[in-house]
Amino acid sequence: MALLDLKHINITYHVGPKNVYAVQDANLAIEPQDAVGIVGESGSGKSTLAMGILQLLPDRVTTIEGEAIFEGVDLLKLSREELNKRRWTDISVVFQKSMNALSPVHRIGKQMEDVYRIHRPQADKNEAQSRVIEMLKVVNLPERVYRSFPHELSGGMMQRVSIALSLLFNPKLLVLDEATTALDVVTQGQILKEIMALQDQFNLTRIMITHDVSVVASTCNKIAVMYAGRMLEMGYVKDVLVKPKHPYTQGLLKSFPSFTGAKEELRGIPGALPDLSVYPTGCVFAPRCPYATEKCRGELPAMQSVGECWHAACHMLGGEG
Amino acid sequence: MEKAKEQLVLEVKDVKQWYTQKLTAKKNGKTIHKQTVKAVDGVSFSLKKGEILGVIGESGCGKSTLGRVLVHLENCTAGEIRLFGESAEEMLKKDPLRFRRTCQMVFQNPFDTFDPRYTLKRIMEEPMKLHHIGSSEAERMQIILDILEQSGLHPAQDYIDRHPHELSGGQLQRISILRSMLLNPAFMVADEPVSMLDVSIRADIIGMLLQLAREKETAMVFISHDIATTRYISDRVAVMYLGRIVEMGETDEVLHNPLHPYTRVLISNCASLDPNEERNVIEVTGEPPTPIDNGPGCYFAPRCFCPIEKCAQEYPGMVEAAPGHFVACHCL
Repeated sequence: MALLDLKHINITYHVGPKNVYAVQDANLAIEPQDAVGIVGESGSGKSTLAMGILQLLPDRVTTIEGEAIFEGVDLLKLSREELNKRRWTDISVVFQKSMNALSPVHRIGKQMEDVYRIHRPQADKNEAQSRVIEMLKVVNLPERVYRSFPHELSGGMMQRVSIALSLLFNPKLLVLDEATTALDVVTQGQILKEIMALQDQFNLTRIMITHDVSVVASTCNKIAVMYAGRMLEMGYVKDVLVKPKHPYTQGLLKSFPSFTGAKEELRGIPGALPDLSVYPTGCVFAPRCPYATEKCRGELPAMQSVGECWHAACHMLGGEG
Repeated sequence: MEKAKEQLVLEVKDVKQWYTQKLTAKKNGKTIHKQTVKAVDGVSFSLKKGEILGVIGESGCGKSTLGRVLVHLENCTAGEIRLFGESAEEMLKKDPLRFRRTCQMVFQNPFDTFDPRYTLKRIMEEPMKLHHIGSSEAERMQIILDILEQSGLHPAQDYIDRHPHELSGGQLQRISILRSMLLNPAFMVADEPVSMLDVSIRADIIGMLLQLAREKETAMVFISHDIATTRYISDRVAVMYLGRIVEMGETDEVLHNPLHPYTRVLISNCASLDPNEERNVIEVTGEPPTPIDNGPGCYFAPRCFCPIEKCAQEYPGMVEAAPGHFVACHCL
């Protein structure tokens, strides 16, 4: 059974008189111990999706429809108190700039203990302290970090603190929202490797949200490609990145310069993201797609199976070829 | 001899940019009140006409400072920059317009590059007026419309009355590049021109930059932390670590046959798109230190995976390991 099953998730922002359809009809099943990478450009709705499931978006200006079944419970129907119990103990998140969330005037250890006490109010000082130090060791930080202030740490160390914080209660699901984007390649390499080691150690299920396909290629087993609020292709990394079926995925992969081999001509995708406040009548990618036909502009393509656990939403696949 | 010299657009000799930091701290039992941040610490290279040099390195290694020093946005602490054999500093003093015509820069963030209250027309026209390009307003207008159309902003008439916030990042970066290229500079610095943009747009901007540089034979310093992009655009590559160039040479020679341990670490950590590729990641421990008091030895020695005794005592000199391939390492 899937650990997290997203069914027909729609997230809409209400901005003044306009509605912005940030996520439309997202379906995604995440099996235990999967590592799913959600890739897309900025504005494609990948962060909105993650925040929406955890109900971290402001309620007054957003509407969320659909079901997000986590271990048999619909997260979107839970009350605030019930959800608060699950947040951090079952599902935790590391944000892109989560280092900015650390309080600049408290020592790291103290801040982490505070978080620990929220879910374990009866814990005594020693228990909290030993747990925090244990977690700092897990992410390869020296013990002195416990007594440091955030400004004494580098970006990579603070990001490690955030990861340690997210693992305090051995969550089942870890969402990493651009967690390594702000870091240097070498530091990113170190942290990605640590995350993968932790996954084996704690039986984590992981969602990686990123715009960097190479991060997904090296650390995930499944991938979902999002564009303009819709999932366009999903499947195993070894299938999707090697022989992409959807024209958008193909274009996206072509726009990365290769590190080895001949310097082929780089191809961007012409055009820009569509206006998300206009509800699309056809395929969202049709205006930029080189193969678009009348059908693409007039009718939404449905997700269809193109292989084992491999789906793509495109009219060009199957049928008319 | 004369001819060979003419070919060189830019010569950089031992350029240093040090910043003084005021603070009160205890170090080795003594109280100090000042420390020197050596952001760029002795960089030398030269550029031929139309040549593109990629500068790669982690954040904080001084690559952006180097870029700013090269176009004299900051005066360097020591060293010399020569443009066509003439000292850049003198040129700037004598004829600032000519200097700015020769050197241009493209910045990382296109949203910060322009005055938000100017229309595109004014943004493009201002440098032309200053540098006396085109005799009348109508002529300047025609030039602007022509280059906008050529770069794919179609129809240009629609764009020229817009303000910067009405354009996307990709379009703005295009305009930033066009404006820099307007004056036919002989030398240009591009400081991470695509890192703020989406992947699908990035390729087009790089293509455009490359095409313009080739057409006008502009020598360029392309600063980036993205090795794959740098490989695509540059003829030569320089790898920087803590203010110094540790390795420099032809792009493919350096990237496929890296000799300096730091270059090898950097390259092995670049994730590939191909999930089936075997990756051999060289790991290093620790964080890049700050460029303050790095001691007499090689700056990379504390993190290096193959240090020898000499590394801690003496900074290695640049050695030509292969024709045109320079490395600063004791372990060769």
